Amino acid sequence: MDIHVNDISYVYQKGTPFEEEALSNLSLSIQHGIIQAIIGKTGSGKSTLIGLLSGLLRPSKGSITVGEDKVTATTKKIPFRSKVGVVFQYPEHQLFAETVYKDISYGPTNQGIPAEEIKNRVYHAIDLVGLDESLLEKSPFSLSGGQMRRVALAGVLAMEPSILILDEPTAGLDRIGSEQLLSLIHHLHQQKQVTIILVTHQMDEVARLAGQVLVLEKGQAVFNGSPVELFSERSRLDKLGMEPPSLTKLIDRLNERIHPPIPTSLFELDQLVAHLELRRKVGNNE
Amino acid sequence: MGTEITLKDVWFHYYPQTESRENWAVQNVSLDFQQGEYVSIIGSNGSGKSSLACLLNGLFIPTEGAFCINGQPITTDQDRWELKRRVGMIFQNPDNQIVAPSVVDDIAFGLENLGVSREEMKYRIPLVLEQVGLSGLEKKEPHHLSGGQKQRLAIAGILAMQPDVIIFDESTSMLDPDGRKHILRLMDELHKSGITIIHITHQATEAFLAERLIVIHQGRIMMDQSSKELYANATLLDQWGLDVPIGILLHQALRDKGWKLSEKMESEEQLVSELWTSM
Amino acid sequence: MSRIVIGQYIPGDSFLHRLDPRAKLLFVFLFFFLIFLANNISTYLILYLFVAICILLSQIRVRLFLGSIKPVLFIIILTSILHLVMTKGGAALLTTPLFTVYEEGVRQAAFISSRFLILVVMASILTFTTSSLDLTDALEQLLEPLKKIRVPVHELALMMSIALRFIPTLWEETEKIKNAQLARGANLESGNIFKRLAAYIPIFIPLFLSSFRRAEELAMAMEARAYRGGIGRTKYRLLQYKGKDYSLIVIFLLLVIMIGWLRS
Ligand SMILES: Nc1ncnc2c1ncn2[C@@H]1O[C@H](COP(=O)(O)OP(=O)(O)OP(=O)(O)O)[C@@H](O)[C@H]1O
Ligand SMILES: Nc1ncnc2c1ncn2[C@@H]1O[C@H](COP(=O)(O)OP(=O)(O)OP(=O)(O)O)[C@@H](O)[C@H]1O
Ligand SMILES: [Mg+2]
Ligand SMILES: [Mg+2]
Repeated sequence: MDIHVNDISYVYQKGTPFEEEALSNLSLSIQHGIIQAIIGKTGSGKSTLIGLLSGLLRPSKGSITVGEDKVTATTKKIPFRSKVGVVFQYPEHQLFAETVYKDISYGPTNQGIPAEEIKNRVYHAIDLVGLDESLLEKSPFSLSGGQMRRVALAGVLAMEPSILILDEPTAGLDRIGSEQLLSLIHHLHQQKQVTIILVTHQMDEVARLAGQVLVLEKGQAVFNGSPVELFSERSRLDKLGMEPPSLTKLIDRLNERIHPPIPTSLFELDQLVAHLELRRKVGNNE
Repeated sequence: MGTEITLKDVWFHYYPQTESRENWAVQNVSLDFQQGEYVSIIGSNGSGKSSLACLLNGLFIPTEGAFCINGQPITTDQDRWELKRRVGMIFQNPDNQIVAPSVVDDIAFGLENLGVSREEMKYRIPLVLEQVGLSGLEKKEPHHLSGGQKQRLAIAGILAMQPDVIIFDESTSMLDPDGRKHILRLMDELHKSGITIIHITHQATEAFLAERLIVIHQGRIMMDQSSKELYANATLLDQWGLDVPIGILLHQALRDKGWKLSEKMESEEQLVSELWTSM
Repeated sequence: MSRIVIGQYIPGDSFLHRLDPRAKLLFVFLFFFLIFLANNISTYLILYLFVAICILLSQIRVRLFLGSIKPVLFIIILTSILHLVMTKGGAALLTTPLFTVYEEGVRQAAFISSRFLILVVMASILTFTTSSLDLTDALEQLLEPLKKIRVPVHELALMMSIALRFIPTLWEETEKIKNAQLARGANLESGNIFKRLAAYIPIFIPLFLSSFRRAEELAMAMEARAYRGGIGRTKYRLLQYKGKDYSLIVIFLLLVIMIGWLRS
């Protein structure tokens, strides 16, 4: 299910003194099954774009096509809303039910799925996010922060979306929590072939997961391409005001001394180690 | 004269009846902070960082143990109130610490509480606005500020009270990289001006900017060392669920492959130069 | 936040913006009584004229005022219709099998809706040109004498100012939670009233929880900034009447005299 964003603009509070154009003339294509990262400073329009892609907002201008369905400024009912799952920032703040089971089944129930099928989905979802079955009858509010977030995620996965949008999924989690969540996203992508749209400020996550990165600035797309392309050209990165991933930063430090320089297209520590090994074996002074 | 904070054998818990001692939020902590230090406290979610922070400025009272400022035990409500001027605290969520509906009025809030005169407020407020880089936004309403600006406003509100110590409880964790950098730079400047900085975080890269690092895990202090010493021992951080700096990971991986590198690395600098020579 | 909140402050530097908030508050309060003195066409015309001058002075676009009338339009129309069909007197203008519209009915309907309109627009002028903080400050100082009879004026004013500070924040929060549940397929638009109320539960519960969390954190932050109630507290804001504020007295007296003279 490919996504095509065609020359859209979005204006908040149109016709008031507080009018603000959050996105202008943006075009973007997302192939089915890739991990698309969206990065940009605060206020650059990331959340607005998510709102549009998930069918919660209508573009003021232009059109969005998801699979067969097209949405423009005048579309009444947005057809693709049920195909897109959104995990908003701090999703644990949206939990409400008395038990974990009820909270996870909220989405599928709204979709009108029969009870037996819902049960399957709930069990499948907690399995995916790595929660124990014994938690199902507990109150979601008695869990730790990391567990609550996984419940919220399970609640979205139970709707079996073919496109999954995540807005800063690791914000506020410690290393173990973030690690678990990231490998979960990776797995989902591998196993279920869902398209994943990831909004993040963490360049390490972009380098590690994304197949394609969109950089937004003041509501406009200023870059869309592969992470290697984005991070390997330092001058462009500086111009965009972006930090490189931490491994790239380390390589930069090393390159202050080491000649010929280590390529900055390495994103995994193993790759860097292998590269250094090779250079030591061959002898660095050829 | 400055402010020296001392905790001696401090224990603290939230729910007295239900918990056995090994579940207490803060367990047997003894720490000492000298005027002018720059310290990071790191620990994973739920390790007791915030509870410790609230003990340091008198928001919480130790269940057991002693809490002293410049050697004087803090016991009465009046003591704790006076401590608020000396030890300021910036919280995690920028939204939930701004009281007033405009920038200047929010900075004035703390000063009003202390009973500072109007003339003095008029003198201090522009100075702190300048210091945190918010000049020109005096009349802005808080919800029109970005997260980073809100956090700087909170810092200005504390700075105006002229504290000796500022505690940052994960104050960068909800900000974007720009906002984060700005706050870290501000911490450094404040430290240089003589203010004690206590930075609570679970991000190793931020923590290593400090001079001294304290690791807390399940309410207990696991390490308390200079950041150089701790950098050398950083592989240990992994067992408490914390990030190991990437330079240390590289160092370890290369040593495993038989590279002749020193056993301990004190800084990334050292790693870079040793790597070059052994190639 | 797709439309502006009614009565939101619109920053500006007009004559009205610069008036002392206490003077404005008192003036509008007394003006409300004045409206009830008007009882014929000429007195209402004077009021309309005055309101028009105020709108001009405020330098705020007229459509924003129309926006603030919208929510009460229903009430205005309803009362007008009631007056049209119920009031008897004067010549019959229109006779239908169900009811008759008399001259007096038209008059009453026009006057009543005028009263509403003038009230709402005047209140909007006050809130559009006065920041919420100025309003609470004005209220606190005007109510100062009540401290003598142990009314906690300071605490009330602080509560109001915090409430005003957090309205936009909570509004945003509501939107966020609503979006999150809509994305999970919440259906907020169809069904009978009970169904709809039930559909809002997944929004209300998280909203309450987050408000409690905020309140708790805010209380900590206030305490960390040495807040302990009104004792020994100084005040940064000092409201001072200036020449133009006294001019409001003259304007008000002028209005009283004109209306007193022209009313029948
Ligand atoms: N409800 C709204 N009403 C008016 N303006 C808005 C609204 N929501 C967002 N905006 C404005 O639209 C622009 C884009 O906002 P958006 O929230 O999409 O940015 P973002 O990239 O998600 O930022 P962040 O990283 O802070 O979440 C900003 O200038 C913002 O002020
Ligand atoms: N208000 C409270 N009531 C009861 N227990 C609490 C409260 N706040 C914290 N705790 C408990 O005390 C322990 C320490 O919590 P604390 O908030 O100090 O951790 P933290 O290191 O700041 O974690 P985080 O990284 O999540 O902020 C945890 O087990 C937590 O569940
Ligand atoms: Mg956003
Ligand atoms: Mg904490």
